[in-house]
Amino acid sequence: MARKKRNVNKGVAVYNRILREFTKINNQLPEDRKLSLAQRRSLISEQIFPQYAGVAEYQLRVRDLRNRIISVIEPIPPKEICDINLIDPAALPIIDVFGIDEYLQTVVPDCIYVRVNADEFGTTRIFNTREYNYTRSGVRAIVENIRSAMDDGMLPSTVDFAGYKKLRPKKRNDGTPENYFLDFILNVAGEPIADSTVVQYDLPRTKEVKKKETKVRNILLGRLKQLASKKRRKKRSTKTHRTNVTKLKKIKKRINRATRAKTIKNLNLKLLELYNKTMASLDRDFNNGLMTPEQYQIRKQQVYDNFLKMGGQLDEDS
Amino acid sequence: MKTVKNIKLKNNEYHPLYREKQILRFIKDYSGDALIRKGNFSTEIIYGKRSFMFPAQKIENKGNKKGLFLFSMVRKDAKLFLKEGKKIRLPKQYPVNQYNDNFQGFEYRITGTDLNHAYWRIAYNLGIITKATYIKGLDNDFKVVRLAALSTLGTGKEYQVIKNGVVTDELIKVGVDEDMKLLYKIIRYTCYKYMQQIKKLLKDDFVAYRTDCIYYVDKPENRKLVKDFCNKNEMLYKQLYGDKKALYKEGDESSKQSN
Repeated sequence: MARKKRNVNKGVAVYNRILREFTKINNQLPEDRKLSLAQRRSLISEQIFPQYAGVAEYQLRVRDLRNRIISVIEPIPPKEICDINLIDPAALPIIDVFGIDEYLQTVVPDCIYVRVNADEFGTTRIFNTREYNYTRSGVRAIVENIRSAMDDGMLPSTVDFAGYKKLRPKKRNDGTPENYFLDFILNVAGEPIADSTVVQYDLPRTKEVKKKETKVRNILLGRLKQLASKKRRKKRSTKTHRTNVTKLKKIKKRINRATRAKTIKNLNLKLLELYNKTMASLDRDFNNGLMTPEQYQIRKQQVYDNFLKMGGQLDEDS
Repeated sequence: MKTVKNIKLKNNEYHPLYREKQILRFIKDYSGDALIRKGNFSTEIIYGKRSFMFPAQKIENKGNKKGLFLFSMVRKDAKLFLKEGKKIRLPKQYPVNQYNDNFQGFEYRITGTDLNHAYWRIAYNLGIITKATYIKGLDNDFKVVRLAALSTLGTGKEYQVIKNGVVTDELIKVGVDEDMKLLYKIIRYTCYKYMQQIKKLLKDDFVAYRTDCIYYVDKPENRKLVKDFCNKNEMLYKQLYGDKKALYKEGDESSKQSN
């Protein structure tokens, strides 16, 4: 019996081949030039794969492919921010325990080695932030352990993480950026619960180095500021939502007390206006990333329920 | 003491008290350099380009906690005033207090006119503070704070230096601004200038003045003179009602007159 031909999607095979070659080249690059998987996929999809449209995998020439990949990588400048020696320690002292994920994702450069160290509550291995994942890296487990310890009263609420520069195992203290890592150690009531000895390496105080330090410092402090601003906006969004729900309830009471038809009509209009304003505010905040999809649904439902309880009505179209 | 005009900070943050110990320990671990200032209401640590503020360990004199927002409002208005390039000439320096040594009218009733919130009002009249700031600071509870807000203009803050992670005794002054200091001087000298001008108007009926309160022989024409002067200069005032007892010069027993 003739073998059934496998219906292979040629495009996928070519894509995977390109990705494999790209990964090989990427692994040979220095740390400050390496790209994350997401970045590689994006570059392949936008710049490399379209050039091989309609080409079968067996027709790919490795040399040609490598040259194309290198031509795509070359223009991408090295990231100065990948040098731990240039990172200002002032960006590392106080990190909220339940905000460590956001901190690692947004503030810490995506090309340095880090470890999250909470001693008895768990310690991750030393990993590169390029491929950071909250669950896979083990950070989530540590945070949950800390949370349950707090709930049980074994740990006070006065805990934070702080970043300490250390030497990776079997590496020399010679200034090479990939020889170092940031150890985020849990601090309880101001005292670190693991060894907080910092490795010192003084870069030469040249004009160029100072300029790079300033650049990296400004980038990190800018990110910290944005993170703090987003936290404040989230808090304000929650407060606004609560205020709006309270206002809805107050209008209800007024409608119940009112006797004149004109007053009731006006209050109903006010109610509808407030409902629309609240919903618009929720949509805006959700689009700005100030709440999770679950929170968004819960809040919308809350507003909707309160609105209907008030006796509000929506047209069929809405 | 070393003086630094300004430290450009990128981030100003407020943290709970327990983090103060943590950050000091962190600076020690890194053998870093920083600045620390322990104030009445807060402690500030400047590390890198970040300012960390913590509540004070023990707040003394809680009564003065009200109205602290006036400090930043006054500073902001004064900076804007200077930025706009407005110039005011420094008036001639007159004494803070003055007495009429030749005063003979002890048999007359003495009255006084006290300028209401003199420095604050002058600051507003000269445009150094805005109307909004002026109105906010009028509350009686804010009397001490509004005076402090004006008097500390440009004086800077004193910090202790942390070197290699260790808090030293070395002090450094940050934020000294001579132009801002000059503004407060202008306010004070303007007040004394007004006192001098009223004194000249009152001639022999002038008894004494102390900072923002002037004493004189109680006659209707004198009251009108003073009142018109204050209205012309947009100063608010209150009239004090004295009795026939003469005004005593401090420390001078011989100038005492019995009733």
